[in-house]
Parts: sequence; C-alpha cells; structure tokens
Amino acid sequence: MLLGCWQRYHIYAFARWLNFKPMRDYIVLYINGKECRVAGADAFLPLSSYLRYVQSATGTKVVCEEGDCGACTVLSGAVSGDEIAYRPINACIQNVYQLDLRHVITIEGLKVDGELNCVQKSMVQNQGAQCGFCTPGIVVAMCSLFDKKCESKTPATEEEIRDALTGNLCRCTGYEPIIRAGLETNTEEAIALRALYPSRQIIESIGKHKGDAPLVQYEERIFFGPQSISEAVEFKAKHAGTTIIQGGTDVCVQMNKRGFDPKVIMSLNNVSGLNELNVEDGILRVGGRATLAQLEEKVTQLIPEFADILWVFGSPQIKNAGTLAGNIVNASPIADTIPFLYVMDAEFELTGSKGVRKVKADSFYKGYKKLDLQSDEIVTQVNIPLPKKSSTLKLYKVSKRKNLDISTFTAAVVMERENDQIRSARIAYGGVAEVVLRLPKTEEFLAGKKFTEETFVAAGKIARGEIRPISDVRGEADFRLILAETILEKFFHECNEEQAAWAR
Amino acid sequence: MAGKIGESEQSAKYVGKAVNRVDGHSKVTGAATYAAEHKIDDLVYAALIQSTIAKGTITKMDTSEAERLPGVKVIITPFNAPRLSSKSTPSGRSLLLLQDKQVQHDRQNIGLVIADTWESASHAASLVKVSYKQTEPQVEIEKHATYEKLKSTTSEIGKQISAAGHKRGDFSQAFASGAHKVDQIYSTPMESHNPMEPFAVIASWEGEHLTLYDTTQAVFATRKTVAEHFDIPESHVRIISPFVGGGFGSKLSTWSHVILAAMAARKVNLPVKLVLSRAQMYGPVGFRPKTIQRILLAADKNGKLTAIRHDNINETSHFEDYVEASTHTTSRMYACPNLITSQNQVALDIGTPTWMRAPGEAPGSFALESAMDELAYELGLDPIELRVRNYPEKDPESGLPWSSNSLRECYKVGAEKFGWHKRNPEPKSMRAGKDLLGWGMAAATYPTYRMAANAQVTILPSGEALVQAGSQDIGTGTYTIMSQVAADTLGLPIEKIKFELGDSTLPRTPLSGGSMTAASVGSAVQLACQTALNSLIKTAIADQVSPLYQAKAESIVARDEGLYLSSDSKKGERLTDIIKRNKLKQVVGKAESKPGNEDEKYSMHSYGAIFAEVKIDSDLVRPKLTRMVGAYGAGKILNLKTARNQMFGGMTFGIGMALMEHTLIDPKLGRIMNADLAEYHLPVNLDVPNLDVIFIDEHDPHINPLGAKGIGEISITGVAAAIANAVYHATGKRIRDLPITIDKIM
Ligand SMILES: Cc1cc2nc3c(=O)[nH]c(=O)nc-3n(C[C@H](O)[C@H](O)[C@H](O)COP(=O)(O)OP(=O)(O)OC[C@H]3O[C@@H](n4cnc5c(N)ncnc54)[C@H](O)[C@@H]3O)c2cc1C
Ligand code: FES
Ligand code: FES
Repeated sequence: MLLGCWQRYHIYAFARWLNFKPMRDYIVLYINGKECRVAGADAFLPLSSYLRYVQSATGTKVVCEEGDCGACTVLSGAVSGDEIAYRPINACIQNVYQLDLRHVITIEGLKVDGELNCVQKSMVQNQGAQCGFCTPGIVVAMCSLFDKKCESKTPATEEEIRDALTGNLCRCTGYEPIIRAGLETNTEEAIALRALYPSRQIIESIGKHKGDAPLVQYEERIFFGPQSISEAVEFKAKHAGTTIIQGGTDVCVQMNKRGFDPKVIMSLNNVSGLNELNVEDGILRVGGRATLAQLEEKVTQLIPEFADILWVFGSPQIKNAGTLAGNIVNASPIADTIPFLYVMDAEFELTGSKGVRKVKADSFYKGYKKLDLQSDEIVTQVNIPLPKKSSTLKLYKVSKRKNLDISTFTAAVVMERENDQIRSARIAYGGVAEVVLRLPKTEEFLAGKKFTEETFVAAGKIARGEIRPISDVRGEADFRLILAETILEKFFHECNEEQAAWAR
Repeated sequence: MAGKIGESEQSAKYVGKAVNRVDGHSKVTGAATYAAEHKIDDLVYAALIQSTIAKGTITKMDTSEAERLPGVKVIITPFNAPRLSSKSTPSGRSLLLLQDKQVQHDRQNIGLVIADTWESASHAASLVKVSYKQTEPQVEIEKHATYEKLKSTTSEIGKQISAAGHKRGDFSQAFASGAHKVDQIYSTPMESHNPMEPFAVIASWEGEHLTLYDTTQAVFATRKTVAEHFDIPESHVRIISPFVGGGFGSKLSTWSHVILAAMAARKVNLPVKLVLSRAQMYGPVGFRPKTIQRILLAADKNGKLTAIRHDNINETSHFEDYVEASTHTTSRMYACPNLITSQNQVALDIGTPTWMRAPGEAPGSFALESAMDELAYELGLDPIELRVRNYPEKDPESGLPWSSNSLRECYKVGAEKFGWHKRNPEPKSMRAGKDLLGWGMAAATYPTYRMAANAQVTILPSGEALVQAGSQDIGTGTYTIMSQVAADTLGLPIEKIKFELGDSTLPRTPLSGGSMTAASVGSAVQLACQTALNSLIKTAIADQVSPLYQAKAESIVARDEGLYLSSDSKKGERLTDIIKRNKLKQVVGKAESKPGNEDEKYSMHSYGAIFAEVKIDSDLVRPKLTRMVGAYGAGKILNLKTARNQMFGGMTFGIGMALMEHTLIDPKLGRIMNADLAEYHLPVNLDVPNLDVIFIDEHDPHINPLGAKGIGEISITGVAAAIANAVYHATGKRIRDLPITIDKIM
C-alpha cells in the first residue's frame, strides 16, 4: 500500500508542528565506538544487513532471520545513568531505527588491543568452533555473560553458561566444547565491556542527540522516535496506521518472513520513564516498554512461578529486546504471559489522546488479534496484583522443544483453599482457541469442592469441554484436548507433593 | 624413510594429540570468509523465486510490477531463461533449471531477480505474480502400492535393487522355524540438514572463464558439473570455498541455484551473488527422505539369530532416483546365515533427497537396533548379551576378515562407563525421584572409505612449508589435521605450516563425504611431504659440505626443522641450511595417494556402542535425555580434540533425529509446513546433556597409511535407537516412528 500524498503531507505538517523542538532526519548509533549517522533506506534495514552490506562487517552471521539461532548476536548498549549497559540481541530482527542512541558492539569490536579476549582464547583452546558459522554469535553472547563476571572475577557455572546460550544454535559441536570453553574461561582476564570503549565520550555525544527526536523518511516509509508519551500519542492519533515497534521480536519476524511492510513506524525506545518496574500496594507496575528481561529479574523473588515461565520464554536475546506490552498487544493465543495475566486479574493502562483508560486483561481480547485498543492508544503500563500468600499459583507451558520454542499449550491456575476445601479457582488456557480463555464452568465447578484427585479429574473433563483447539504444526487438536484435561491433575499432584514436602 | 607417522610414535608431536584448531583464531573473531562474504567489485544480487505449489504447470509469470522497481536489472523465468544446451547429460544431480514450465515440488526454483541491491532483488522477487495450472500432488509413501506390499507380505517386495539388497541362505524357511521372533515396521521422517550457513554463491564470468565462490563439500565435482552445464572445459571453471559453514551432506551436490547464479551472471555480464534464505532451503537442496522399514528377526532359544529380513522404502522425487541405503549395514552387523534385504523407492512430488550424515546407516540403525532390543525382551536376554552372542567373527556378507573390529570392546567399555550392570531390565522399573528412568543401548557401524587424493608441499627458504590440496573443511578440521600430518612428517613446528584448501586449482582431492577426508587427503599430504623431503635428502647426501654427505637415505629422519641421522641425533642440519647453501628457491613435493587392493582383502569399518539415559516426567511424559555414553573403535584418532568434537556433534544430530527433527509436509497441498528454525527444531544446548565419548585404542595397519577410520558419521549412527530403547525401558512404550514426541508417548 502506498502512503497517500495527503498522509505524507500530514507527516510534514506534524514535523513542522513539532518544529519548536529540533528534529533529526537520521538515526544516530555507535558501532564499535564509531558514530554512524544513518539516513534514508539504510535506516530501515535490519541491523544484520546494515552491518554486512553497508559496513562490510561480515562477522555477524545471518542464518534464520527470525531470532531463532543467535548467529547474528550483537551487544546493544543503552545509556543508563553515567554508564552504558550492554545486552545481547539478535541483529536480524532489529532494524537500524530501533537502535537510535545505542552503542552496538559486534564480534569485530570485541578484541582487546588486537588480541583475543578471554572468551575467544578459551573458545580456541577448547575447540568451541567447528564450521565456525555459529561462533561469532556464541562468542558475543558469552562475552555478555563474562561482562557480568568481571567484577567478582568468579568463574561462570555450567548453568549460567547454558542459560546465556539458550538462544544460540550450533549444528556442529553438540555444545560440549562450547560449554567447556565457558567453564574454562579465565575470569581473571575478563574485561568489562564498558571498558572496551570510552563510555564517557560516547555518552556525551549521545547526549547531544538526545534532545532531538528522529523523524526519518525513505520513499513511502516514515520512522518516528518520540521522547515522551504525549508525543507518541499525538503521532499515533494523527496516523491511524502507525505500527509501534518495541523489541520487534514479533513485528520484525513478520517483516522478514511474511512480507509485512509497515509504512509509518514508531519506536518507544527513547520515551523516558516508560521502562520502570515497581511494586506499590501489592501491585507490580510494569512500564509499557519494560523488557521481558527486566521483568524476569524483577519477579525472580516476587513471583517465582512467573519467573520460571519467563525463563523458558524465547532466549536471552529475545527477552532483552522483547517487551511485556509487545507480548500483550501481539495477542497471540499462545503468548506465554497472557494466561498468567488473566488469572492474576491484571489490568492494562491504555493512554490515548483522551487520557488514560484501564482494561482488565481478560476483557482486552475480543477475537483473534482483535483488541479493545483504540487506534491512538498505547499500552503504557501493566498492573499485576501480586499473588496472595494464601493462594497457590501454577503456570504451565507445553512446547515441542523445552527451551526456545513457541508453546503448543499454556495454562495458568490460581487457587484459594482452606484445608481440603477449594474456595475458588481461576483458570486460563492458551493455545486452545483464537484467544487465551478463562474457563468459567471449570472454575465454578471447583469452587467449594473437596481438594481431591477425583475433583481434579472431573474438573479436567469439564475443562476439555470448554475449549475448541485446532490442529497445527505444533500439535494435533486431540493432543491439546488431552493436555487440557490432564494439566489439572498435574496441578493437583504438584500441590499435594508440595504439601507433603511441607509436612515433612 | 623420513618421519613416517605411526612407525615411530615419538616422532609424532602433533598427530594423535589434542592440537588446537589452526583456524580457531579466524573463527572466533569473525574473520573467516564464507562464500557470501568475498569482496567482489561491481557485485549485483540475485533472489530466487520459488514455487508455492507442489505440482502443476506455470501458466504465467507477471513480472511487470517487479521490473518497475528501481535497481532491478533482469528477471529470469522459464519464459525467457537462456537455453542450456549441454551436449551430454551433465554429471551430478538432475536439476530443474527453468528449461520448462513444470512444477515438480514445493519450493522449486522457478525464477530469479537480479538487482543492484539484495533488498531490491528480494523485494522484486516477492512482487512477481505466478499463475499455475495445479494438479494434486502425491506426497505420501503410505498411499503407494509398494507400502501395501511391505505391510502385507513376507515375500519379496517391490523391485529389489541388486546393488543395495543382500541375500544369503534361506530366509523364509529359517524365519518360519524360528523360536523367537520380531516383526515390526519402523519409520523415520523427512529431515533437513540445516547447516548453519545458508547456501550461497557468487558467480563471476570473465569471457568464457567462470569463477564461483561457493559453499561446497566438493570443489572438484562442482567444477565438473558446472562446466558440463555450460559446455565449457573444466579448466575454465574455478571453484573457491575456503570456509564452509556446515554441510552434513547437503553441500556434496551442486544444486540448481549454483547453475542459475552462473546463468544470471552471464546474462547481466556482472558478478552475481545469490544467497538462499532458510525457507528456500527446504526443497531444492536435498533432505533426508522419509523411510519406512520392515524388520523381521528370528532367533533360536539361545538367542542366536537365525533369520534377518530388512526391507526399506524411501521417498524420492519424480525426476531423480535416490536410495537411502538403510539396509546396507544390516547384512554385516550380525552373524546370521539367512538374510534378505531390499531397497525400494517411491517417487513422489517432492524435491530429490540427498545424503545426510550417515545416509542409510542413520535410519537403518534406528530400525535394526530397535528390533534387536525388541528381540532381547522377547528372549529375556540383556541387549548387550544378545549382540555379543551374534557378533560376527568375520564379515558375514563378503567372508573377508575384519581389518580391525573393536565392537565387543566398545560394548564392554561403554557399559562399564555407563554403569549398565545396575540396570533392571523390567520396563517402568527404574525411577529418579518422580521421573521414570530409562536406559537403552544400541550398536553402530560405518564403513571406512578412502579415495585417491593429491597434495603438494612447497618447502620455502624461510623454513616454512606451504601445503596445498583442493579439499574442503566443512568444520571437520581438515585445516588442522592436515597441518598436523605435514608438521610431523616434515619435522616442523605446526606454526610453520600453512595449509591451503578449498580451491579447484589446487591438487585434486575427493569430496568431503563418507568420513574419508582425513584418511584420503591425509595420506596424500604425508606422501607429498615425504616426496619433498626425499628430494632434500638427495641434495644433502650429494652435498659435500653437508654433515649428511653420502649418508644412506633410509637412515635420515626429519625432525626439529632439519634432517638428522636416526642413529646419531646430532648429526645433521637444518632444512634452511640445505636450501640456502644449494641456492634452492623452494623444494616441491607432489604426490597422489590412492587406496590399493586392501578392500579385496579386508572388510573395513568403524564400530561403536551407544548408551542413553532418559528421564520422563510422569505427568507430562516429556522425554528428557540426561546422559549418553559412546564407545568407538575408529582406528587411529588423528586429533583427539577435533575427533571428540565430531563425535559430540554427531551424537547431537542423533538426539535431534530421535526427539525432534521432522520436516512436516501437508498431505493435501504437498507443501512443507515448517520451513524455518522456529518450527523445524534442532537441539538447543539444554537438550544436550553432558556426553561422554571413549575411543578404543585401535591399531589398524591395513586401512591406509595413517591408520585412520572416519568418525564424522558413525557418531550419529545408533543414537536414535539407543534413545528409543531407553524410552521403552522407562515407559514400556515402544516408539517405532521418529521423532519421539510427547503425544506419541501419551
Ligand atoms: C525466537 C523467538 C522466540 C520467542 N519466544 C516466545 C515465547 O517463548 N513466548 C512468547 O509468548 N512469545 C515468544 N516470542 C514472541 C515475542 O518475543 C513476544 O511476543 C514479545 O513479548 C514481543 O515483544 P516486542 O517488544 O518484541 O514486540 P514488538 O514486535 O515490538 O511488537 C509486537 C506488537 O505489539 C505492539 N505493541 C508493542 N508495544 C506496544 C505498546 N506499548 N502499545 C501498543 N502496542 C504495542 C506492536 O505494534 C506490535 O503489534 C518469541 C519470538 C521470537 C522471535
Ligand atoms: S539470524 Fe538467526 S537469530 Fe538472527
Ligand atoms: S560450529 Fe558449526 S554451527 Fe556451530
């Protein structure tokens, strides 16, 4: 679809309207310590293409173009206070405009004084590379792990290494030599990523561009990077078809694989104050651009059950880019956070030109990818009541591959119980209909029943009747029906075992 | 004779040792240059157009919108493609090259766009509107009469491919009178190689001369195929492939996109780069075909096999035969007087399958080794004991003695390491906490191949040596292993060896397949080094100033960068001194090494035993592999590090095969439904537990000068069966259809 002339005019008008604020028609990012101003077509390229084709930096590999392999892993550094915090991301599903005001370190930029760093040395020593095509991505991901180790100088554990590399596929080595390379990396030699480049200089010069929001145009495509919610809402109100891209872990996959070609794009990456997480009055408040990685960190202590689900969510690269709001608005029936948000009775704050509106999670979804979200609205906050001490929360994700896989079936159950009497239960299933479902009949059945195996077997049968799954590449409908039924028994067994363990 | 490896172990400083990869540095820094990364001036980009149906005729390709896109140079379709008029049928695969309008499989290459940038080429390709006259595709072996035959009869089925089938004794009679029997059907799905590096090629013409930067496991075969397609002499084609980001068999063949890229480059008269997307690799560049295998076993009451029958059907395309030789090793694996095997193909509306890591052995061993486990339960015998009782003292098929065979030792050592004696054979009897615990094992074998290979060594006045062989390094460590062989043979430190490969202008070598590169090229490198040394030795002996003047050639060895008397380690001199004094520019040794008639005298194979442990969550029955031990007899291990890595990698391939890999095809549309890494699952690191590999010390003087057997492929063999057997032990459920997924166990 071509953007109509009138619409284009509006954008210029908008730019002029905002002209009391300076604007940039280019993206500013740093790559391995060097400033790059990117305008025109290049600003709309995936970072991996920009690196490989424009910068001729071919160390970053492209294998899948959809975030599934990690071969394109680079480090994205965002200014936080007077430091730059680096996180590994997949360059194939990050467009250049998403990296405005970031410092990107690629495999080419990791060498210390032209020498191999401690990770690279260990990778050579342990033969962590066979064909070598996954290797740059693995080295970058591993360097991010050792970045965290450079102060404590403690060696990395196998668990930490394996977690850090969940998003990196290797078809040759069987991973063993890579894990060993991690275990044998000499942490004494680890150098902080921020010490590789003059952080202060970079921060200063990023600071100079901070005041002006980028408005970049190429042919019929426009990108806008607002700095405040009001700017963002204003823009979105003027341009109904605006696509918000945050982590891009959904949108960019659609662009790369399904030919989705949004014309008016807005990133919230530089909107201040939107990435905060805090707890107030027993409610966890998650900002509209908080990443899944931030969320995971936050809930590790607060809601361990949810942290477990976030642990198997995609990969570190995906979680560093992807946001909770993105997961919510992308509205996939198998989105991993939604069943949890349903049963916790979470509430979404939607900011539009008329102000802020609050919607409950389970009334936000109206049909397959149909949302109670106006064209000018943005999800600015998600409020999640913390589970009560008296309640039991369990979350399930069934996927073909345990890690780095989209779910076949998801479930969330929260139950209030007094001795062996169930007071109430809230249940949500995903992957069983076009949206995530609450199971009112099953919930009603459970309320007041005895906490016994029979109760949950019977509940499973009712649950089965409340859903209408389909067959797809991830599983047959029948398989999902069986899961829907048996998951409640599993819930019972788990509660029982915990109770037994408690009693012991 | 100078520095012959294996003869004097002390002289081997590098071979047999855990030497670091010589290409490690370039790989961990991202500096290694793969096919798509060569910097070529005036490059333009091509993007493929692929069919979105599996069968039919293209009636129209509307390119008008695509052509209007800025930067688009030309769009080649079956309606305007240059005619390829080769005089003879080109060697290699049967390729579909836009010469007609037939669509014969999903994702067939049906055109390409050439443009200034990669973005415009791929955007334009997406704008080409293709109209088809569709016909209903047939993509299921199960709908074919051959399958009915396989199911319904124990007599011979289908056509028996003599080269692939075996027959001895009287199967029917022996089976009829067997005391204990197994008769089951096993199947393995279509699988995709998915090397990490996508297929990519840069084609550049200069007049009638063509240079291709390709990612290939076979530079010489590619050169031949390409030359034949364009009717030019092989000498006019150069293939360059210094780094290959994995192949696993898929890059052994020259596929259509290579010819199409060269066709495009000729048309626009500029160098053209073509990179396939992940999705474009599911169809036109091969895959492991689905197999359906029926196995019948009979044994007497002592567990001695009396009859084996193994029939295999695999799918292939309508335009090329391909045999997945699943039954091939069955005839040799166990001593059994009565045996019959057959290989059958069913042609379907799919692309042509190809070799994938241990083609034949991987699916075949799943069936045979699962069946052996079933027989062990039938007999109430320990599965290792059953296998030992049927160990063949010599090759039961050819009657030849083994060149070496450590299979029984593999069982023993592997079982000890695994702790097999603690196993309670009763299914569902063992637990780890809440989880069901299962232990299973399987045997593995892979033949030892070797082909003629050439190499050239140039010793330079600096004391360094340039060693060259066409060859390829697909991640298997060719660069390193050849450097080790050369360093030891020449008596030089490995840092002074520069090894070059991946170029068809270098000495001719075989393809990187069949796990034979180390043995074939290694033998040639060794011989070339010896040839170069011999010429230096000659010079020294004739040189009055040399301490070796008039010494006997046989008494001279190469070590410490010089030539010395073997009897008097002080008497001799440095190579550089001989070269300098005699004013030699360089010393060149060329050699060809080829197998003799050893295969007429010996049956030559690697053997192994694999042990697997699975844990199964009692509610969700997700199988989790928690431990695996493999013990292998694979000749001399040239580099312990690269060898262990190869084994880990192959075992992990086996884990993928057992638990997740499956190219799904829509039975109605004939389209592949999971053409990406999101839905085609490869094992991630958390799917792969700590693996244990043991090499049996094996000295085999018969196979080749290095005594090395291949290891790249035996590593996957048997793994899927060991895991399936473990799943049976844990759950009592026998899964005969790979992959083993939760829904099948439930
Ligand atoms: C390899 C891989 C693995 C994955 N694994 C999982 C998984 O395990 N579980 C799972 O649930 N998902 C998974 N995903 C999907 C994806 O990562 C998540 O849905 C993620 O939360 C999306 O967040 P994002 O910020 O990247 O969204 P984006 O792609 O940036 O946006 C997604 C959608 O949300 C809209 N949007 C984003 N933010 C706002 C906002 N504040 N207001 C209004 N609209 C907004 C966008 O316009 C777009 O329509 C995976 C994806 C990949 C590529
Ligand atoms: S290329 Fe696979 S994650 Fe980017
Ligand atoms: S080394 Fe080849 S993919 Fe990892």
